[in-house]
Amino acid sequence: MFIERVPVKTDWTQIAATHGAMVWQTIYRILGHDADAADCFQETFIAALSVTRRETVANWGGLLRRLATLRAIDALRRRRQEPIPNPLDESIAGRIGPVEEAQARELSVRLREALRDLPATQAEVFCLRHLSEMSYEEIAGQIGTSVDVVGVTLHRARAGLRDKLQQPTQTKRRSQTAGEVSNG
Amino acid sequence: MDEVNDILVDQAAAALRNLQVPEGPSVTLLAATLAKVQKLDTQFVQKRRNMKRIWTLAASIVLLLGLSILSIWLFTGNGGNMAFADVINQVKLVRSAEFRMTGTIVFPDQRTQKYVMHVIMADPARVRIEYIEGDVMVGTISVYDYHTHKNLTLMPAQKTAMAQDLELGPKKSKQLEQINIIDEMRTWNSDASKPVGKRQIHGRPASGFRTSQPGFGESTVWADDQTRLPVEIEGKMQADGLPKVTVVYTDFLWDQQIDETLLSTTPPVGYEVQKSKFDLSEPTYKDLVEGLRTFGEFNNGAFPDQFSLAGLVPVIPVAMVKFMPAQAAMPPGISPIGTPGTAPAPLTAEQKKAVGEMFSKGMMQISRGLTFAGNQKYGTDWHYAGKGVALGEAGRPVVWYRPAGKETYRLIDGALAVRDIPAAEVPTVPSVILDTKTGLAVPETQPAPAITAPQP
Repeated sequence: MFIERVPVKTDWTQIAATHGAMVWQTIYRILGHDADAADCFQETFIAALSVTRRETVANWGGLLRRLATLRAIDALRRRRQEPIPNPLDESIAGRIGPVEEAQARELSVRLREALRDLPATQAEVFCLRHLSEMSYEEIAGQIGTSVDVVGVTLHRARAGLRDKLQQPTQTKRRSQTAGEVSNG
Repeated sequence: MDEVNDILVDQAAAALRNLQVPEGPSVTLLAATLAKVQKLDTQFVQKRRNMKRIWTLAASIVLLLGLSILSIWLFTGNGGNMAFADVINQVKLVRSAEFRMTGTIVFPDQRTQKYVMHVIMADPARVRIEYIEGDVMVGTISVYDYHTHKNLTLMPAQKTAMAQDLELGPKKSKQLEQINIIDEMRTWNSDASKPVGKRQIHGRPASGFRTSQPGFGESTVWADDQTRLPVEIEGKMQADGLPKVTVVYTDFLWDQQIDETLLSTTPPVGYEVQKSKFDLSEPTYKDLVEGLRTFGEFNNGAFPDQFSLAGLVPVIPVAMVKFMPAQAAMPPGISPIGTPGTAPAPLTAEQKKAVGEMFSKGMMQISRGLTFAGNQKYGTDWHYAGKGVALGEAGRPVVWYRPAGKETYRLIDGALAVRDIPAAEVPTVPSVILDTKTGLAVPETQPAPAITAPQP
């Protein structure tokens, strides 16, 4: 009682070895941008460190996936005024023809663009459900809410994305605007 | 139309999901991230250690005097089990607790002191203590709110309230919030226990478990078989040179509706309010100097044999005799000295208040000095040579150490003059090492061959 109690240290090497690749892929998929992804990768682990100061982590995979998603969405939103990159070296798994692949790549760029305009929570829930393929229960457990709230948030996210995906991409809007100015 | 666009959303999600991304971060990035996180984590663990130490020292000291409730945070760290994990899990779910805490202190000379407190904890960073039996604090009520960093101590008999701001420093609030029973129990290792049988407590079957948690000594926890919440906890604590402390927690009420006014830190109408600060900010060498001065004053003008918590124990009765009114009855278990031929008189309310304030202030200063001394964060190669030195005795070395990041040593003499000296001029008088390994700054004997005090 009178003797100092020593806090337990977290085995970060083991955690990074187990979950590092997943964290990286989660971030990269949302950002598609090496430099931003590197920043987010570090921020994710530092955020996880903060969590360990408040509570014992029972599910490292779930926690890191959620933190990675949050950091990536934050980064995406910080670059709201910039066009989404469409790197040619990203290929689509399972696609056969170049046309189909180009369409998928175009869709993914538009989705990233739409995600950054969504309210952050909606974007987070959407990514956890549709990109990380977490169940409603897992998402509810990670963000500390009910399954019903997850369902409602996801519904709103999809509605928001529907509207945004119908609109021309920001890149196209810019080129159209530039064209109008130069033509004018 | 919505259906069409829903398909578009799913197609877009599938496209992004199926995007081929790099398999993992680069080795460089991974290494840099690990290095950064591990460094921050190490700093955090060190900070927690220091904070724990501050609290341990402060709590231990005030417990001896019955002047503060802080010890509650430490002593209540004794949760229970069914399977032990079951009980811990149940305790995690509660948001308030009310219980009776009975402590018995056995001093090294076999004197004993008993104290009883009624405790309410809620939400989870607020606590109310009513001092029912024990010492000069009897009759007072303390309320701590660690979210707002406020403390209110009420002395209903005198209609007096002491309102304190808990000085934590801007970076300390999170750590302090962690010092409460619920957070403590969340960190317990549920494997560190063994069953000790069953018994009836208040007509209900209960299962007992003995557990030893790092830093919390050995505890026996009895938990209700049905609710799986503790109904009785007994904790025993002892460290070398310190009194044995046994604390028994009984009469638990879990998750009862709490009257919020009982946890208010706003002084009641009609009370005379005294405001003060409870300083838990980072200590400096000036706190060490003032701690030495206070220690010396408590000890009738001589530096203690040991500059440590253990060294404080024999000094307390001396201080009580010095500062208490001449014919006052000493608190039970503390005073070894009577006034021959004169019947002791109980302290008046005003005398209680004055003595309480004086000790509270002095103990805080000593606690800050002890927290600084021997701490590797502030310096290395700590020595204490105050035994036999009078307060005010210039030129007699009392403490010296090498401040962090410096090549020179800092020397404090009996007159509490501070000067920095080269390593070659470090005193060679007999000294003991101030060692923080135990978290108590208990010195160890170190042989010193020669007695050659440095010139003042």
